[in-house]
Amino acid sequence: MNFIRFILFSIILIFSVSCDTLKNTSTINFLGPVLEVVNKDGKLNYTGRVINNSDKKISNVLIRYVARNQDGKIIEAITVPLVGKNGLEIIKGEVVNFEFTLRIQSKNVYDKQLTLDYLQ
Amino acid sequence: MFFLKRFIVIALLQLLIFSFIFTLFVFSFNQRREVSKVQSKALASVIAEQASYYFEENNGKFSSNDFFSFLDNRIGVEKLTSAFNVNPPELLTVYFRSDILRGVVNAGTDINLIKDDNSPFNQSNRFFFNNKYVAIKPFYIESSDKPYGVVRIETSNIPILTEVLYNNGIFYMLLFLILNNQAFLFYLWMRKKKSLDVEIGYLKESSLGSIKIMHKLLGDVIEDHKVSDIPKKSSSNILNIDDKK
Repeated sequence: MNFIRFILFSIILIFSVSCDTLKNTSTINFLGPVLEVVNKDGKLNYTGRVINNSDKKISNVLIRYVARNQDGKIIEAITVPLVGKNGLEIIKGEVVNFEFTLRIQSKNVYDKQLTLDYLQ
Repeated sequence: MFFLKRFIVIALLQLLIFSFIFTLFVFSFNQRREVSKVQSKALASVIAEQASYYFEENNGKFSSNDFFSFLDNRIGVEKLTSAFNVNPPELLTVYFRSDILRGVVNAGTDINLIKDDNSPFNQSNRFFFNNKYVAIKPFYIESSDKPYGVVRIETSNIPILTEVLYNNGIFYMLLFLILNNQAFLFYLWMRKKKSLDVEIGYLKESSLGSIKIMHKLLGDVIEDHKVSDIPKKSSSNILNIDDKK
């Protein structure tokens, strides 16, 4: 009977811990959606904005973009460093614009993944 | 063997409870996803309307930075995100009809620029379900009967999944405990009821057994009495001390 109680307690604990980790506590985010268009050369072009929502400056913010084909294989991966008013450091509340263009053919891109990465 | 049977019954019961909770979770998730779909369609309509204004003002000339600034001035980019709360769209795409028809880009539409639900561009199957929703809305300029392009908005369903789990996690946990408690009470009730039933089970068997034993004992006693009567009738060489007195 004690064993069953232990199992139940463990499940409750796992549920509690898991729920807390599900909440998004990111400090730097995209400000609105990222605009995707086809440029004159027929390549995909991305334009967007990133905002620092934290109380402190954040340095080395990188935008990582991964494009996959129909089979799920990565056909292009791009890392774009964000440059703010103070160089690679983005101060509290600062909004930074970014823009980049892919090299591959637009029609081959089936799945896109856009993420933000940074060092505090 | 006894413990194995018990363990299997407990495992099946837990599986049943988890299935019930999972059904509730899927129901909540689908409800929230439908809300997100409506929001995406509404946003696509708003952006398509703004795209029509933009291209009419600029005579078809396009610059992504200009269009982004135009949207910011007219609507406010922050509002686009805050309207969605849980899962804001990651990508807001504008494709021109000429590019789609030339095959430069695949927008996940048919030749009339209407969304093709079966297109692989509109699906992303991970975690055993399609976790991408795409809203496509064509936009027109200068009262043309053919669309000038389409606005395509992709939203991920994964944030909805985690949000539903986050909001209802405590409810699911309590439900799990209550259902386990109910199952235990049901077990106790069934066990008590079984022990009181005299028509079936071991009591009936025991009673029959007792009667049989008693019948046998009585039979033996009667037989003993019958056997003990015989020597009294016949003469005996044994001298009884009491008789001598």
